[in-house]
Amino acid sequence: MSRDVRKRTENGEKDSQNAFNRRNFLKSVTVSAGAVSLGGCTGQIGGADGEGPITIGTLYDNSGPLGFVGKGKDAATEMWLEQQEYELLGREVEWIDYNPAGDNTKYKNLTRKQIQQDDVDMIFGALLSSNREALRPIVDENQQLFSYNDWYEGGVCDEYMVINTTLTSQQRPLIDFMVENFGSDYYALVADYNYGRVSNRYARHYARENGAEPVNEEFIPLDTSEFGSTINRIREEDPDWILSLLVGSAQYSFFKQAESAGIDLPYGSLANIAGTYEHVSFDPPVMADTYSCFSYFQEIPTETNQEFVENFQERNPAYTKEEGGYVFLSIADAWNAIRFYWNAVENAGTVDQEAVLAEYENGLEMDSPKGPVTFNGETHHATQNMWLAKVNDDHSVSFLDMDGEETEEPIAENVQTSEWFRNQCNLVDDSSWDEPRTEYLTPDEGDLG
Amino acid sequence: MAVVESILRFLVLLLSFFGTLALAGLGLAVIFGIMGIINFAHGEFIMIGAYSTSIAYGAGIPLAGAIVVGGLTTGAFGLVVERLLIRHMYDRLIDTLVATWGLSLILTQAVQIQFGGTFGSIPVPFGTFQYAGFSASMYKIVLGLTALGLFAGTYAVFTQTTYGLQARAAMQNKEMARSLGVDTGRTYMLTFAFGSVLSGIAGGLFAPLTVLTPTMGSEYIVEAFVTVIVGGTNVLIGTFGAALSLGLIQTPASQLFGTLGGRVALLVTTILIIRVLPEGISGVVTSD
Repeated sequence: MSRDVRKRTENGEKDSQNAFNRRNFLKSVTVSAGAVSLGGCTGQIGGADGEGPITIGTLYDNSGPLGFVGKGKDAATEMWLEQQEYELLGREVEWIDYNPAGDNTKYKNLTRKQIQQDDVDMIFGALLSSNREALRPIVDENQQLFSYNDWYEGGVCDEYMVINTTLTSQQRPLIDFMVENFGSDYYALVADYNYGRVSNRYARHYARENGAEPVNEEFIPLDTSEFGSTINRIREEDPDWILSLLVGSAQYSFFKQAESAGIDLPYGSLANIAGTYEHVSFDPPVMADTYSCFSYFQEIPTETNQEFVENFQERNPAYTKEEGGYVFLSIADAWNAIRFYWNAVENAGTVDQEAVLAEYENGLEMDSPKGPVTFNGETHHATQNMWLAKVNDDHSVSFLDMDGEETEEPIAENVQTSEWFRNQCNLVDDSSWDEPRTEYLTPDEGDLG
Repeated sequence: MAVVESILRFLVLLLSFFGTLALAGLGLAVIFGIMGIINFAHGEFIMIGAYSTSIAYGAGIPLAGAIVVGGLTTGAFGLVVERLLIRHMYDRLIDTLVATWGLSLILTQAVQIQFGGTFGSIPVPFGTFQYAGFSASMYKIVLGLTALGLFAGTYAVFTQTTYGLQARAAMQNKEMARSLGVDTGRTYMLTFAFGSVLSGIAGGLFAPLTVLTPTMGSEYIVEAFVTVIVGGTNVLIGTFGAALSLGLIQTPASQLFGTLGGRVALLVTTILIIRVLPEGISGVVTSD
């Protein structure tokens, strides 16, 4: 059977090949229609068990400013599905792949479409927190299991959301490392939106616990690409190191401009390298002496990871160094997300969403390109290792331990969500499928301490 | 010493803000001032300039030459756009606005599909300018001076060439120019191409300082429109005056209150100026 049969897009009807396959698919739905409507009566939203294909939906931007991220995530999803030959529990898997194009209205409409029209068993999607928050009410009101897997500031405490990616609180080793190795005066450059501000709050808190203090915190509008005055101020304040929460291609100009203005300070980054591979896009030595802490880097020296990277790049040459690409964090997170789902469904023996979630909450465990990851049932977030990467003068990457020595090990193992969040969010005890908690928690100043 | 340093710091920052505003705005100003067309795809013209500069640079052409290639490529592209799209919409301001906006979406997505999310970066040339405790990127100083050079070049084109004479005639009184034998259609075509060349050169000049992405045009579009709105219809004096006065506001504001403060000051000043001078700075200098 060709791949097209198993994959649909929102424009599929326009393609005659796809249209034919769509009709085929509709036939198979008609067969199981009785079962679906019965399922509806008993409160089961997902596809009926045992008949027809299992349907999974993805909502990753394929165009717009983050199109490259979503394409990478789709490529990871496709690689997994092909390795499984589009089969789960002995049933065919149909992949419904829509492109929300970075537009929150589209995110909402396509989420509705996947739930109500395509009757999917699982959705993977959303890149920005704003995308996720736009569609979350729809997911909640339809009791739809949903995987969010792109790095964010943390704080979603939602019965129907399962999340596996790096949270700002998990990056704490970076702050400890920078203060310990470079000093206590740092200058914070923060992208002026929710992610930047909340993450900066965490960073400042962890810095203060280390006796460090920002000499200045500058909140920078997202489309800023002119950093003359910032560079002047950095020079005046003379910090020991720079904390980067710079986000988006416009703000990455800072690194080039700082380099050519002769700024020679180490960068401690909570937002660069792993997800946006500035060390590949820029010629050395622009990013030299950048330290970045995430759960995944393409360079992680484990066998599992090297094999994953090779496979992925072989299928998708655009992600090789020669093509200016990089197997970035979002790809590894999409890969882990679908594998977590696979494990949960196989354990549950069904795609019934409540049963699948119960398996997630039991604490899934697996090895992955990042190293071992476990799913924490209480918080619905992944527990994972954190790696501290140093960008060298030639833009190669080394991993360091807390003393700054090169290592092949992560800097911290089995890192959970923040203590504050664990105290706030226990979805096993305080929430159930029919009486869910569906919150988005943000720590205020002082909450963390 | 500290005084000299402060003055240098101020001047270099002013030069860099002025350069950004002027370069971003000039191409847009030429097209708007003479043709009365607002090119919403202006940012994407800058992007095309940056991309073609980067391609030329990657092919081994030195940066200055690569920027010229970027300008000419964008000019040629502008010519095609004018022939296929713009010329059918002369004197239809709103329609051109919507059409060029659509064009900007198409261009962004086409580049995304063709080249992906990011594109080859160009290292910042010329190194660092150092004086006592002060250092700045030499290239930013060059950028500001190049902007001045482009103004001089544009002035020469409009005062020394037949095309310039006809363009000014078409701008002042289109009907009269036509009745005196000026082919205004051709003049407009050349104007659009000329404005595109200027946008392309701006893109090429910005390329080393920024990250090339399909959406990079949006980083300059605010600067471009603010400059043109404050400048008004007088292409040269208006744009020059706007870039200089806005730079004079943005420089101390961003020194005192940071990047965000500078940005706020820029926009507040723009609002105040168009409230007091609806015609922009051109309204002051054009006595009639």
